[in-house]
Amino acid sequence: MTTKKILGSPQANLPTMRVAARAIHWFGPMSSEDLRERLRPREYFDEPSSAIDETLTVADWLGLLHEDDSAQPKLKLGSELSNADSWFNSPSEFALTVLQRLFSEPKGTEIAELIPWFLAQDWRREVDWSHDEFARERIMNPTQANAFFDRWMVPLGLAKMSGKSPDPMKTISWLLPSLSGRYSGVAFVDRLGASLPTGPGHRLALALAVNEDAPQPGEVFSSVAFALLQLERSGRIRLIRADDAAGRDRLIFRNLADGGYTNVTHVEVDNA
Amino acid sequence: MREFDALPCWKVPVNRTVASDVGSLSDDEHPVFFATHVELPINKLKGGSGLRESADVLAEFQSELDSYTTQNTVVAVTGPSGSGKSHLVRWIQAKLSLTERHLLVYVPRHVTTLRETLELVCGQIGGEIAAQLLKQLKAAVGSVSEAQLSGQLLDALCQVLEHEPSTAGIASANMILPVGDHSRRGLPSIMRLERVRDHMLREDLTMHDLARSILGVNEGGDQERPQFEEYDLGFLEMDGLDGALDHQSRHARKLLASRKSLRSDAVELINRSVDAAVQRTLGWRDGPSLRTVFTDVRKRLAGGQLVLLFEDLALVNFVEGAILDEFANHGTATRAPLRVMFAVTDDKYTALAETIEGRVTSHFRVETLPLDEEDAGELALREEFIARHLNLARVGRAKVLEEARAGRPLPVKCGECRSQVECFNGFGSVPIDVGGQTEEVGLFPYNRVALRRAFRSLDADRRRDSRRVTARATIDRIIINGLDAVHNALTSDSMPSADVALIVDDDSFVQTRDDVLAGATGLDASMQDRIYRTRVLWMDESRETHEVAKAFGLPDMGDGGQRRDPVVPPVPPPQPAVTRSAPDFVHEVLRWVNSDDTDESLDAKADEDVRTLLVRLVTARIDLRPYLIAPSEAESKRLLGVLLGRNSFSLGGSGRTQESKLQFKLQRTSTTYRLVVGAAWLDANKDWDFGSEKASWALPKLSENWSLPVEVESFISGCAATIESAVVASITEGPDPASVADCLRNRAAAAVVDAPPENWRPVVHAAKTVCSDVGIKNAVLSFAGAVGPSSKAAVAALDVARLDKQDNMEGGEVRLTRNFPHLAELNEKFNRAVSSALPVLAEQTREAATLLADNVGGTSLQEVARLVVSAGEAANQAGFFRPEESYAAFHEACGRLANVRVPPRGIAGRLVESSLDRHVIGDAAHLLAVAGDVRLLIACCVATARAGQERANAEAGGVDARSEEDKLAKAGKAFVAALRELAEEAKR
Repeated sequence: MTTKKILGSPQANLPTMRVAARAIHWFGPMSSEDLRERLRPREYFDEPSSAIDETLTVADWLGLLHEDDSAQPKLKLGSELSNADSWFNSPSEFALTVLQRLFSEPKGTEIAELIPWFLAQDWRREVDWSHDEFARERIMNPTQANAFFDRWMVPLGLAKMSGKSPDPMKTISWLLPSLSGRYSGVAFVDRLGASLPTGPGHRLALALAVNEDAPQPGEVFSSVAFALLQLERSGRIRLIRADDAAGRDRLIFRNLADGGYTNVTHVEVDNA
Repeated sequence: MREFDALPCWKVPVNRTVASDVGSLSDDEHPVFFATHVELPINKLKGGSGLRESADVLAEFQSELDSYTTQNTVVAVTGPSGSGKSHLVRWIQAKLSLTERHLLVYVPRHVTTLRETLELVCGQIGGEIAAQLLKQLKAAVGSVSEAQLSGQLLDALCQVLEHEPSTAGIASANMILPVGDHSRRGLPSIMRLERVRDHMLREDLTMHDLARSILGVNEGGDQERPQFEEYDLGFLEMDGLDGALDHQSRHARKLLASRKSLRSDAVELINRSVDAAVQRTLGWRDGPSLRTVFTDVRKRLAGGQLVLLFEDLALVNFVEGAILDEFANHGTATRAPLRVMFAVTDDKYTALAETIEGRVTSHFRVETLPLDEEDAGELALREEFIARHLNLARVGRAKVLEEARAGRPLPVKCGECRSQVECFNGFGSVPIDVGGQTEEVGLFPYNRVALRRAFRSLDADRRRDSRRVTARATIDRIIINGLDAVHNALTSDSMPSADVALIVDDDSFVQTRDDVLAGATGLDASMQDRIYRTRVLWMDESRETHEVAKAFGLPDMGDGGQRRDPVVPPVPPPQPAVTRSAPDFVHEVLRWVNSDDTDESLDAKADEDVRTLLVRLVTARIDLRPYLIAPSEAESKRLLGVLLGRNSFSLGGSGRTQESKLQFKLQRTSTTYRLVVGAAWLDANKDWDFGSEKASWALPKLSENWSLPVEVESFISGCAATIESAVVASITEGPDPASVADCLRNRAAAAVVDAPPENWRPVVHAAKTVCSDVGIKNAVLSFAGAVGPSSKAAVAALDVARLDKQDNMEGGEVRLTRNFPHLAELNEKFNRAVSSALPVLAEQTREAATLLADNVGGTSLQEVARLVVSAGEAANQAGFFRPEESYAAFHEACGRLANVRVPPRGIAGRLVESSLDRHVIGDAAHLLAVAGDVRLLIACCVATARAGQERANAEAGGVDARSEEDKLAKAGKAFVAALRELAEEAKR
């Protein structure tokens, strides 16, 4: 595989990446050495932490931070973070930015490959990655597994509970502010699909052949369906069940024991 | 309801038709008795072992009757009260084949008084002696009142105690009944006193009951004869008795009054004397007795058999001893043997065991009504038992007797009913054998579900009294009371009424009322109650069938009442793989939600369990890491504890409200029950796989259980999000605690200076306290810490952008105090120290600044220091540096001043204006230190210059005397001027 191995830096994590980005934005470009000292000042820390180095490495891979070419290189924010108004005070915007970078990294990352695989798993129980060939090719050991679930899936809003069960409720809720209005079911998941693999028909899932059966339009992972139902219950969205809607408009939930579908035909997002 | 023919199909009151006590049936009512006969489980315990049927018992007993052995046969039938012992004896009696060899003496349950018993026994035995006994009996009790008989019995009792007490095994007998010259004294002497006698003959005490039991009327059931109790000895407490007593009796009274164990023994002595007292009263001591009657009849029957059947031996009062004695006398060539069968309760049999165990040849035990629903045989038996009684209730006693007299088999009412098919479909039926033919009997108004619940309810009630379900209890509750209640409900269009529910409701349900009533909304409350009872008690929480709805007069819901298929089933609910039930608190919540009592609170333990569970789940869901809050650090833990606790959750108003806690109120609704079920499931299983073989327990029955994960996850996530927001608000709405802590730490560090002026020392002390306080570090790490790997991991990096914001605390002290009291306290103490020291500090600073301006003038400190250090070094080498011992300090001060930062202008004013600014504090402290160094330099320079001048004067012969102040100022200026000259010279 030519994909970058983010999990090879298992200490890398989003909160550290975010404080690094905030420090550079607040104080201006600085050397990586200077940044390390600032992030772990001696009056509060006795020892250095590999988490910072590994986080800076991954942030560099993802193009979120980069060193300039000067004689004394300084770390600067990548173009994705140039608009600090959006992410500086918003953890969710920062997470969405990272998610976007994961999927847009030209060489690809194993985390980007694992996300559609993860969302395709049964949301009811913990994922057993060690018995899944696809996952085992990308997750080398339990340390990397912990890193994947706890340091990436949870902060990216794709899991809760122990981090090992897919539930993209948070990620979808972060995307809702940009999705006000009423959509057909299929259009809605298409819009979500710009940021998130929503079902077996999504380009990322198709590329990885996560499912054996040919997906149908409107087919979503059951974990995504579960997330949509939670959002409906919390009043964030409304799932409209028009009995007379055309079959092609309805949402289909993947991984049902009976292969069933729903007659959810429209989704309404009211951000007011 | 009215669409079924002739409902209700029985007449009330039902106890006129159906008898729970077989003893109440007369001999000519055998057909009624046979109409309800079913095979109850019988265990043989002596003379063999194993399960038997009634026919086996009959066959064994009949074989003894057919034999010619002279040994007595004594068959005991035992069992709990109401189990059917008497029923079995009566059934045997009805089935026995007797010949002229046999004389049957049959004592049914309804014959219990002594007079009735003797009249019946003697009447059946016949003969001269029996006639004499009856005559004697009539003379003794025929015309006496209860009061008169009571008095006679008391006299006889005293006589027995005086002359023939049964004292075996009672160690204290001689204390209670001390031996006198001619008779025993003590207790009987006391009982003979007039006041005591009046007391003992009171109508509420046992002596009177004893008389009633000889003369009185049977009140049914397994009643035994009256027994004396300690309360009958209340006379022992009376004052003034001793004067009328001899000294032995007086001593006995004192002992009895003071020792409880003696009173207990006294009661035993009295009870042992009762039979003898009764026999004395009846004149048996001198005339014929029951014993002589038996002797006579057995002699007359020689070659034959005397057959004795007692439906309840315990009720054969006062002659029990005579009868039991007779069991020991076996037959001979001249004396007929006995063939005895008697029923008696387990407890009574145990009490008699010592006396009769050796005389009993066979022992059968009638077991309680079977309740095991898994055993098909037992279930069928139970259903047949119910069906036969239902049929009897429908047919009526008169009709049963009429058909029996006509030689026709027992009629089955359901066979004549036009609604039979509909009724059987709706309520079920049971086959019974009628004269060799199998007939179906409908279970209406019950069905199998309702019967199962009714038996469970009965069983639960009986167990509360440490009893089991017996045939009699079943008939009383389910047949007699149940059919009466249903009749009332059907005729008043309220079926099933609350009264009916009392019979059938076993207090078990798995769904909330709202779920059960799905599709039945919009009806009035009364109808909803009826539908709810029907669905729970008859349908196991499913929708009522068409037939049940018609029979009970409920509205036909049609298709509209059917629940719609789940719209969005992420995963269809599989069958539960385990059978263990949910934790107790789940059941308690369901019971609470379904309770009719709107004021009822949830059980305290369940309430505690639920709130603890919710706190646990919500806490695990809270994720503060995205907000750069480190959840494992002490301060964030503390803050979370302030906001969330068990009192955050309130079930129907439970829990103590704490202002600081966020409140999540759960109403007494089915939604809450579902939430509790789901939360308990998630907590126990850590997943949502309802069909897992590894599940801790089976999910209770819930409507649309597929939506449970959505409901529970949404609730938990919602609570977690609310708490996350509250934590963030605590940090952002007031002064940022991390920034405040970091700023405080920096100010404190700046305030610590070497050799501080006197008034600055409290500030230094406060500053050192701040710098060493772990709370400062905790606050910074807690609220500006990026936690990497997991919620329990250490802080990997600080959010230095936040720390750099330098919160000015403007107006935020109150919020800081409320949310972060320790930090606020540290801050306040430090500020107070600074404020106290500030006026003097400002003055000193002003002086220092003036001193510097006056003495240094336009020359920079660095330049002065460089010049002075050279001059001082030269003076020291020349031996006139003064004070000599200060040279080292002088040299160090010069070194510091050579690198000193120029103090900002107007430092004193700024210090007053911005006392909390760490830079100002640092600058002020710095200025004081510089001023101190300058003072030292000036002092050294003046002293050295003077020493140099003195040396020069000594060389020139004169001393210039001026005031010290002038010296200082002028010397300083001269010194500086000299230094300048030196510097000029050096440049040149």
